[in-house]
Amino acid sequence: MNKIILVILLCTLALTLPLSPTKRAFSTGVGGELPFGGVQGFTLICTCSANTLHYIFDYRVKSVLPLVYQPGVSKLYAKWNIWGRYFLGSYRPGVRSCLIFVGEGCITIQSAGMMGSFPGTGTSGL
Amino acid sequence: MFMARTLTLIPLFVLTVALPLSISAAIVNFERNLRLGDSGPDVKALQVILNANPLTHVASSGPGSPGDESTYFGFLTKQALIRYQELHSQDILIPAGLASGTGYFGLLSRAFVNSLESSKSSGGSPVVLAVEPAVIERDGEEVIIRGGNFDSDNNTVFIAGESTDAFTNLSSLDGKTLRFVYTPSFIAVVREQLFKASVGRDYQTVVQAFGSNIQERLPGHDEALVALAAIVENSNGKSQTFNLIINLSALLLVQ
Repeated sequence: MNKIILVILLCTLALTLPLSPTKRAFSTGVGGELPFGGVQGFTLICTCSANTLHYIFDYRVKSVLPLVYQPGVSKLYAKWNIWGRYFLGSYRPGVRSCLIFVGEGCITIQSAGMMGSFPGTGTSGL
Repeated sequence: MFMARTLTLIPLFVLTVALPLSISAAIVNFERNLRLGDSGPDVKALQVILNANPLTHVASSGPGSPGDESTYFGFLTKQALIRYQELHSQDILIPAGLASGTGYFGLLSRAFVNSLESSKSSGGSPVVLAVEPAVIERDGEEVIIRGGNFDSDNNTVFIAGESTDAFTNLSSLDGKTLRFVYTPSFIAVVREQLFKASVGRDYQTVVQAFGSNIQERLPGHDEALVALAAIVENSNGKSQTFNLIINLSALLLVQ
């Protein structure tokens, strides 16, 4: 039941955004954030930075966006479910990286940005 | 006359009741749960299904190998079934709240296999039985999907992490195979990330560390094998979700 509500929420968001007066502002970034939406390939667990890096094919820009999900900062819809297959939301470009442990220290895996909070991100849960 | 007819029918009745699966035109329907130690024609039918995919072969030679399936549910069958359940985790394990295969051919496993077998015979939705190569290790590799109910043209394959229009208008001359060339979209992105991250370090070591931190990595393998969910869609409908297995370590190490 909760999955159905989440899917309806995401579909409603996808359908209403193009009609919304916020479209222009959103396409140029709200709160410095850009919209994205697409399907995830896989997830990297960032052992040194306590976050995760999600490789998402963004249907909007038709390319892969590696986006950081930062617990406590990135805002999630509904079930707070980050482990879904489809993502729809906003991200803040150029913010946050993923750090993983290699040998004697940590290395930085650059990201396209961090999932944000204007309006945040939701997953299909499917 | 009646007595003679009745006597003739008795063995048929006994046979029907005793068989734990129905077989019709090579389509099987599993009607009991199976576990280690069981035996019967349904075990053999299960081994045939497991042997349809190189990743879930019961054995490479001898009893249990393709063409030499047996009626005994032994350790090798259990291990192959575990791999099968993990390959189809979206349909078998996740609905049961399980993260790894059990080797027990229970309700969800039977329902999944029965639905696949039913689709094969019904002329209904596309059904996927196997993917070749079992593990994709190179850019631009030809992928062959074997199954049924594919259209002669206009088949689409949707793959996690890929554009929805990446693999469209695929044709199938026999209705049983689909072919397309596949290079994961994210490989170029990850390579660029790791080149930058490995300045002053050994690239291969960085690739290994990257691979070991992937959440969807399949357990029990030295290299980072990642399952990408996929489906086939055409005018008949959508297939079940199946997995393309990629060797991320190998793909990232190819320059």
